Amino acid sequence: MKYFIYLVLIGFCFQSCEKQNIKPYGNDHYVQFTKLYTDTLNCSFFFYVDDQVDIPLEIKLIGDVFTEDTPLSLLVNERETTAPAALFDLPETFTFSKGQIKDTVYLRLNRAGIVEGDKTVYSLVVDIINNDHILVGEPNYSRRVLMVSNVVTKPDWWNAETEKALGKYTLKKFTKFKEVTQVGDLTGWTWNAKRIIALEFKNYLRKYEPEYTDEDGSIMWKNLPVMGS
Amino acid sequence: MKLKIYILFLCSLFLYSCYEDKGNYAYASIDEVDISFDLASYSVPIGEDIEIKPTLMFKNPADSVNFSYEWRIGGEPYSTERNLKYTGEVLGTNFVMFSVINNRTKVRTIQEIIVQVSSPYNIAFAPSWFVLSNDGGKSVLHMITSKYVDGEYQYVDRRDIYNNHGEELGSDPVKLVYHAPSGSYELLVIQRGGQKSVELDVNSMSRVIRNDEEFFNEQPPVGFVPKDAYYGMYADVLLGEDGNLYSRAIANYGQLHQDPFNNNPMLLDPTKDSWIGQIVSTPAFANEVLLYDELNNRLLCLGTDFRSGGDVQEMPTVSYPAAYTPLNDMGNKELVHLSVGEPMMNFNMIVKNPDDGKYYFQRFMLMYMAYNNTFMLIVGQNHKELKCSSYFTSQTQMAIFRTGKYIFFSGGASNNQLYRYDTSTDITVLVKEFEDQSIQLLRLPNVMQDESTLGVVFTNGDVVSLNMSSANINANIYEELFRYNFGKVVDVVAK
Repeated sequence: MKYFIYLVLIGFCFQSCEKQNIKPYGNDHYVQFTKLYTDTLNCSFFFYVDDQVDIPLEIKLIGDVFTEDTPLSLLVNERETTAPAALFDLPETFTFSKGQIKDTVYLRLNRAGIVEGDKTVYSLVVDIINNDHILVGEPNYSRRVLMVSNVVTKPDWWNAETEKALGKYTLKKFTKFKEVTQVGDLTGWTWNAKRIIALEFKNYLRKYEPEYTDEDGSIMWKNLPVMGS
Repeated sequence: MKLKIYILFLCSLFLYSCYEDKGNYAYASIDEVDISFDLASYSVPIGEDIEIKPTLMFKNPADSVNFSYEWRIGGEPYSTERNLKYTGEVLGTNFVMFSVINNRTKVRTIQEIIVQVSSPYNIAFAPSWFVLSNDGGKSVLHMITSKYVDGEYQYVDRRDIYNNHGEELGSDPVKLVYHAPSGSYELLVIQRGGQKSVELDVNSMSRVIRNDEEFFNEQPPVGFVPKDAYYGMYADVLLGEDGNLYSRAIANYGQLHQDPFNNNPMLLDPTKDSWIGQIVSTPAFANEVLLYDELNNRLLCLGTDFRSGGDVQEMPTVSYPAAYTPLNDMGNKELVHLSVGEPMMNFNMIVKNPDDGKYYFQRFMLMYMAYNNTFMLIVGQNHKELKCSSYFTSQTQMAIFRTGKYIFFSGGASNNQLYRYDTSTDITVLVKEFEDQSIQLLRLPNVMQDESTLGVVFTNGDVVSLNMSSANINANIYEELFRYNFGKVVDVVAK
């Protein structure tokens, strides 16, 4: 009897010997944006001086690096996009550079695409699509959404770190800041650089316009947290 | 019966007390020796020799022949001589163990010291001086270093020490500022020509960075020429010849040259123009910097902490003793001298009253409280008229020992007389009258060292260090520790 049981058990063992064809993650190349589709990019011509602005969108490669520059396909999602065609330029082809796992594609925005005085905020939705060389990566990272307008909004760079130097954002403060420093975009600035320009702003107000007030009536320079002379 | 057995047992126990002690208590005397060294730490430049002589006190001097010696460096046997003759071959700190071994009993008496092998320009624990000279317009950097030999420091001059692949240091030299933030030793050479002001690494005497490169976006203020500098734990400040201050906050203490100087001048006073003529640099670990506003004849204070690159404020309002010159508004008094005092956060100053032509000495303490960004000012009671002012001339140079007890100054028609004034006794002593030599500069030792020397620079290019220990002062002994000539000397700073 016990020999019979042994034989049955041995027989069960062979049931687990099943071969599965698992494809190696090797030959295909997938590209996606480095930020989620929910990470909306706010672009207002208010912050720019030029009439054409190139917006960088970072992308990354999943798979082996390319041995030569490889075409990448992007498409404007017409169903989700409200921006007029004149507002943007989308090149027919983009390229993912060889030898890199990350790259940047640029989307050009045209100020002429918005009529002066138009306060509409337009959406521009761009998707990565498959082509003969590159496949789309994770779905959540295959799309970027831009909200383009000519209205004033709080710039993305006026974040928590910037608030340590310039305090809470107000349109009046930002307008005065640009007027005094002639700088409107602190994207990518180091903390020390932000501190230096904030001090320039604060010292100007203290010396030349000490009574200048913010939107809430408070003395503007007193509400700039940056320390130092 | 049982009782008998118990008694018999107890009695047997007593037998142990009759045990004979066969121990040997005839101890032999152990020869004793005390080892001492002049210093706990010795320094030697790399590639050079040092001889260290321990002092041995034998309990029984006649027994000294019964001892042998052993030196171990880094745990490895190095010598069996009584004195250590060591050549510094590798940079670094060496732990040295000296053993005196009793040959009879093999007992060792051990003492440990440190021997540091360093760059010849950065010899630890040894007094040194940097000298900046002007050779036909060219800046030349020299050094006077020292080494401890047989109980005293021996000095050697090292000439033209700038080391940067044969390039010239620069031209039109102005000043030297030695600083040692976070243990990295650097020397700022302020000069107007050539590559302009540069920071040098003191170990290699090579360039670290040009001053102009340290401004935001590598754009120094237009026409900027530094005049002086302060280096602190949390901020550095440059004083320009334009009377402005330029600061940088140090994000991470210890990481040099990572943060740029603000190329906008610091706002000194939003209500009026100011012009800074002098900054008084305190030790790097102090957060108070004193500023002299020439335009308004007043002192301002600058506090640094980790959150800002320095905040300039007016002097706190205090009640001053009678006749004390107010610091926030000196009126018509002329500032003659302003320097760091001791203990820390104290300052010494001398002012002249043009109304009576007299000079007055006063001290104060200034402390920066970073937690609420305020200053505390305590003015000293020892505001007094200087009885030595009759010796002052328009060429008089001064140096005040940081305790405030002694004021050294030059005088005489040719400015060739060195005087010492005791502020507690009002006694003036002529230290020395030099023949055919005029005094150009007086310099104190580094603030981290004690004040037992005085640096004197003569117009003929001689650089001298005088031994101004208490013993020499009390006995009125004039003693030169070294004298070297460097031509046209612009500045001298103690390391």
